[in-house]
Amino acid sequence: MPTTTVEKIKKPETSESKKDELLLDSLEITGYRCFEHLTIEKLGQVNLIVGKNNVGKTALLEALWFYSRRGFSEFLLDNLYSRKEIKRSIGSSDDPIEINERLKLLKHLFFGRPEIDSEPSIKIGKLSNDSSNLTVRLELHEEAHLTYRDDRDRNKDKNILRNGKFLFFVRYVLGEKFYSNPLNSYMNLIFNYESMSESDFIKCQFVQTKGNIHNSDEQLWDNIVLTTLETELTEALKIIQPNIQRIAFTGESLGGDGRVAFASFSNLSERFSLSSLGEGMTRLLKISLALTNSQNGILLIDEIESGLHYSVLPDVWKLIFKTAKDLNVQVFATTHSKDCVEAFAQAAYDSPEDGMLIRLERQGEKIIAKTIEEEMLVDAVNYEVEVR
Amino acid sequence: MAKENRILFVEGADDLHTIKAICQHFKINETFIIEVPDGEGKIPTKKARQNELGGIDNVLKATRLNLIAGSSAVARLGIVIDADEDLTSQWQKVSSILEKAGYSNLPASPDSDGTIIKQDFLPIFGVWIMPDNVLTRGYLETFLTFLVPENNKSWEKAKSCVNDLEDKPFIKTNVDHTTKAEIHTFLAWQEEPGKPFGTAITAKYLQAENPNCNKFVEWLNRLFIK
Repeated sequence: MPTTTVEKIKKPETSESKKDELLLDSLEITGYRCFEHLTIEKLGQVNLIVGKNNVGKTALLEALWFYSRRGFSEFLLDNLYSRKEIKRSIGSSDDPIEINERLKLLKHLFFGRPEIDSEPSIKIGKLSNDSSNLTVRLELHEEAHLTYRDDRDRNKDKNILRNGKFLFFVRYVLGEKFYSNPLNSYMNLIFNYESMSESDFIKCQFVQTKGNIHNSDEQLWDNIVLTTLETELTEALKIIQPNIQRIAFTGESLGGDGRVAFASFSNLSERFSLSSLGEGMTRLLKISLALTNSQNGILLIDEIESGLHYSVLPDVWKLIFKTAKDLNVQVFATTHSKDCVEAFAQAAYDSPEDGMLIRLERQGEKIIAKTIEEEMLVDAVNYEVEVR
Repeated sequence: MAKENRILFVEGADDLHTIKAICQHFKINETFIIEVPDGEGKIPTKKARQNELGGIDNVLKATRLNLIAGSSAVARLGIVIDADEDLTSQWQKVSSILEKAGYSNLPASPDSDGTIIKQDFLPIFGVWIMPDNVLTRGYLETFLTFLVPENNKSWEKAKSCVNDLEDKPFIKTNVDHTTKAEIHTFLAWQEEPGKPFGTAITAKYLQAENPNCNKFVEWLNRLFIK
């Protein structure tokens, strides 16, 4: 069994020339949930993922989240809870039954739900060898082999998840660098034990069908207010309500729970909360906030058409293609809707060499991905070929 | 809805109506749709349309798109194309599309009973090359000459009339449309002159009961029904 190793972290060089390259020109996922081994040879700046139910569209987005968060998995485990894959029992963190449930939950992150003693691993990254490719492996360390840097570490160790004489660690490999972090009994990583630098993370926003994760709308708003991105955001909202002049998050909410978005209008003297303008506006706000907060990173949108009327989809895609290019964001969205695919194809046609349609398919037990580049996609739409 | 997952692409309206009349005659269940692909969809592209409705290019393009870009929504796909001047070259065009789509073990030449190819995770694919998957040259009209009643005097006369013409603009350096001229001449001399092919079959000026047509019907049955 491997022992814990500490290694000096080098800051990656950030050169201007690299800015316009795609974060992921291709994708390879091994061992993550339903993906035993998924390869996608070519990705675009804006990628639309289609396929039948239960082929792993959302799982693909989650894998990309996992990748950008470098395996930081709380959200994913929470997600498993909310999908009720695992019953959330109520108990204290050191309750052995509770710990056992959590360990079972952890298994669900790995393909085939292997026993955790088998030290399963997940690999996500480009098809080529690249220092940004991520490997996450669950490891068991013998307690006797642990060394502590100081008493603080020793104290933290009390919380490490144990299975008899073994402790659970999560090992991350990023190119030539690797880190090991112990897992606590809440399945949270005990960071700082041996932590990654901020530069190892990839900026990422995930718009789910219900809300955004990781950051609240207010936080995302605070990040962009009084910058040029605020203007981009306001322009985006005009897709649904052309009379919007400005928006702001203020404390004036009925429930008193945090600030909510209000808008002023060119034709009205009063301000209104954005949510009063309907589900579509709320959704567009979330997408736009996430988009403007993903500069040089990744934006994930699950069921992008959700809450949006089909007639606004062409403008939404137009906005996404333009902003993705301007801010160097790589976008991955899923859809079930034909209107959405057609609107995407039109936007891809108007913005050459940026769009890619990815269809996940089941071939027996295996899930495979087929890519359709925009020229073929436009033809397929025109020949009324069903690509979903 | 159910029949939309079984599609037959044909080159033009003549093919479509001929096949519909044959299906009607043999009471073939309409488990599939027959379509003349045109690509005139929702996204106006800058590329000028090279060909109008149908034609072999559109059939092959629609085939390629369905097999490569299409999801498993289409379970069975058939095409009827003309051999025109060279059966082998048409077969190669089809073969290369199938190969790109992932079909393996393709036969070197078309099956004389009509080709049907199966491959895991891909649609069942069928191709009929007019007139009979064997003749090097020919088209729908050549197939229709097989349907002319036996020992028909008008047909013999129609052929000799066409042959006797001094000026034959339907024969060009690389295309010979003599058969087309003959069949249209023959149809001009029926009780109701100049009926299109489909109605001519229904009116029995052309007879669906014959070995060549049976073979075609059997191919449709194997491809779409069985």
